[in-house]
Amino acid sequence: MHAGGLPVPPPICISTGVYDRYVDHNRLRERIGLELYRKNIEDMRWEEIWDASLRIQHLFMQATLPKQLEEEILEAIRQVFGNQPLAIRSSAPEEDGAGGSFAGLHESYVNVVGQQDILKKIKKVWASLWSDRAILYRQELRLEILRSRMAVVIQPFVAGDVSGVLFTRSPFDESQMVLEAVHGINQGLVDGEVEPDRWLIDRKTGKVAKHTRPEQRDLVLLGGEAGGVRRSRLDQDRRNSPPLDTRAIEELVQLGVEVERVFGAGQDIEWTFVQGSPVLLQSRPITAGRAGDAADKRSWYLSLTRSYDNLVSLRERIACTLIPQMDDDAEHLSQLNLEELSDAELALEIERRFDLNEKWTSVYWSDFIPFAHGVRLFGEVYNEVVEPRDPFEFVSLLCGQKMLSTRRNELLLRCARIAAKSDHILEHLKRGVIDGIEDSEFQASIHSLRHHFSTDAAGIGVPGSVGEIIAAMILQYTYLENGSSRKPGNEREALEKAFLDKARHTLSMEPAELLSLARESYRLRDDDNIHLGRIGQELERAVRLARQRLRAAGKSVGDTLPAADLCRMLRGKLDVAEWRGGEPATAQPPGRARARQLQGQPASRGMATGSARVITVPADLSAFKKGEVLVIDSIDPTMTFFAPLAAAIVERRGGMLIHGAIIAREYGIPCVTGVVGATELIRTGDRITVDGYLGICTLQKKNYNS
Amino acid sequence: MKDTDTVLHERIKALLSSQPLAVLSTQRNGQPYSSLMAFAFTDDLRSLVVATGASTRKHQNIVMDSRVSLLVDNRSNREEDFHAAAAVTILGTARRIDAGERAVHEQLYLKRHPYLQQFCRSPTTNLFQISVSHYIMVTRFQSVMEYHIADDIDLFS
Repeated sequence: MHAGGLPVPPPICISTGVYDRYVDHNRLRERIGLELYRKNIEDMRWEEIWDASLRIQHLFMQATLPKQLEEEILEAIRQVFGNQPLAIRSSAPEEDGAGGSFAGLHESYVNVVGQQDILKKIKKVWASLWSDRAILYRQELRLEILRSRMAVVIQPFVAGDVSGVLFTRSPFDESQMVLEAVHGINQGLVDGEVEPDRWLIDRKTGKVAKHTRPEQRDLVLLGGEAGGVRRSRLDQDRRNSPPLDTRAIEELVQLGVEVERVFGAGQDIEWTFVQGSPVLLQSRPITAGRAGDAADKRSWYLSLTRSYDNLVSLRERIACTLIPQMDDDAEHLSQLNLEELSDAELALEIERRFDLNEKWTSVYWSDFIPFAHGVRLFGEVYNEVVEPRDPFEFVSLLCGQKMLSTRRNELLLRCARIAAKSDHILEHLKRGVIDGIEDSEFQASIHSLRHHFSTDAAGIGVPGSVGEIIAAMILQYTYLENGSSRKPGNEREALEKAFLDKARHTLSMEPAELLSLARESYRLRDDDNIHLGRIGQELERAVRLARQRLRAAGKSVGDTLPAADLCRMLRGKLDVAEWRGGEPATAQPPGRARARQLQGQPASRGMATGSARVITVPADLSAFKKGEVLVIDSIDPTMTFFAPLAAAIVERRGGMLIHGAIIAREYGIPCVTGVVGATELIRTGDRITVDGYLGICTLQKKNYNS
Repeated sequence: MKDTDTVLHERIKALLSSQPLAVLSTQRNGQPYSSLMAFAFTDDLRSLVVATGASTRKHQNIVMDSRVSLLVDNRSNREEDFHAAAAVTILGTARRIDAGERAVHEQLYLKRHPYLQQFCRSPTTNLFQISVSHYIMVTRFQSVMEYHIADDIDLFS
């Protein structure tokens, strides 16, 4: 662009060859390979890619530049820019390819001051080649991920008064340009922190077709005096006026046309105005928006990059409004005596409960799941500030809280202590029965378990299993010497203090507040499901009664019959429901192939050996014995009562934040997640060793013939 | 979708097909001994054929203890092997081929290694058929799957 005569600050480029030197000097290439090829990348969930990305980016930040290279870079910068503040931008060679645009995928830094910070930011730009989003995007484009390289462009930092982005062709309408602008520097717009003014411009006439104002203009990002970015409030005058006037818009449109002519294709341009003149910051080719697969939640997850402020307001909404409302709904449902309803009323009640369950499940996805991002945000900040040896050290600051699941388990232990002293109770429990036990203290605890901790949700869809599972668990808990989760240790306190001390001087938010947000995010991630389970078990209670009534009236009703069919049958509008299948798959007999060692990722440290218990339906949990290793596809917090009994946990679903991993850390037992085919390749009774350091499970198969 | 048995069978066969050589392990008085060998295999993966001179150490070892192990892998001797290479360990029992059944084994062997005709047909070279009991396949550095030809669960029984 500079060579093409466009108004661009003169750049210097650190080529991909330098990236290669850095990677080879530190022998990073195969460490990345081992991280990304633990399993087929198509089998990795977004959460697992995020975890892998954190580890890889951590490698980049821990690695060192060869001394000579460091001097060459600093000398070149000194010669061209002197001591000016700098903008340090990413430039991946793939960005020029026709396949896709990487705009905004990799990091860029503005107002970088001082040698150490310059070198650190260059490393961060290289590391951003391995962000979760960048990895996913390369994979979608079928690029050979391990061949990816990154160049770095360094320019003087231009602190404009007004900045923005210009798409010379709208992805939605080729005949229009899209112009977005904010007051101050454009870092806020690019990161999504500041909402811009937006103009649609007719390419033929160059006239504005539509101007959309932001909800409010209050935040402005400026260059900080000691480097970096400073947030400030806009003065009243500028709050009321759009960042661009008609003349400025015309100038930018003209510039857009010129840039397009130089590159010969539609461009995505970052620009800024300095003392009334437009300056180009960077330009990339535009690619058409690709239609994502709606069933693939991964692209949806990418939209989760929420800033701290959003998370703070989300916490407020979840803790003060949503959860109390959901608990109220559950409370209300639980107080209704369903037996008194007529069949038609019961049908209506099932529909009401079904809708409520749908509503809260959708809130779960729209609000609760995004809030879990608070944990990741904290992880990134912690690693930036503390630069720990272990990129997952931050997790130890989050566990050890009072969670609903661990409180429920303490209640189960209390039941077990009462039961151990009473032959009457033990005798009931051995028959798998909890009703009819004459002990008021015991019954009060059982009531609380079912009422507040959604224990009935674990047996959904399996008639008669609810009591059986609870009875079996309490019996097993009688063998526990100490069922409480581990207490936070001195180590955790020391880590917390170190983080708060370091963060106090570097963060734009209060570090203690961020930590508290992250802890709540971590805890709610687990608690949410138990709250939601209360609604689910109330729906199930009504459905169960409907099944009983219909069966008593001689109707044929399967356990998997949808609620809608049940309602029609209750109303006498359907006699025989069509059978839609849905029976649990039966395990195939073992063939010649047997797993010896399965690879996942380490999610809770430690090593343990035990007999495997594979859970394919929740009712299988009633057979769970103390000392066994739980193997499951994916576990819900309403089912984690087995955790104090388990030697280890293996889960097919991958990630550091899945529920199996969260509960395993609470009890200090090893956990390996993301094991492809876990429930098919491991069988109940196999002797299994779970290595929570390396993330592998080693199997000694039992003899199937004996 | 193909079942695990079929997929693993195909993977092992593909790896064996891609490699002309295997490392053969024998032992004498508890001392392990490894040799690089040309090999051939049957489609059902139940048998392998190797050839060796009658005066070699490995020949003597096999005659004294027929239990053998072989290693076949597709490494390129570069760093990326750690995530990209596959290896299979083969356990089995070797048996010297008598003159009467030599032709069929020789044909299998020479089809893969035609350049070894002179060596193979020398009266001082013996062919061995290895009856495989287990394959143990390692991929992605630490993923291990076993393919059991024999019914024993314990590989070392």
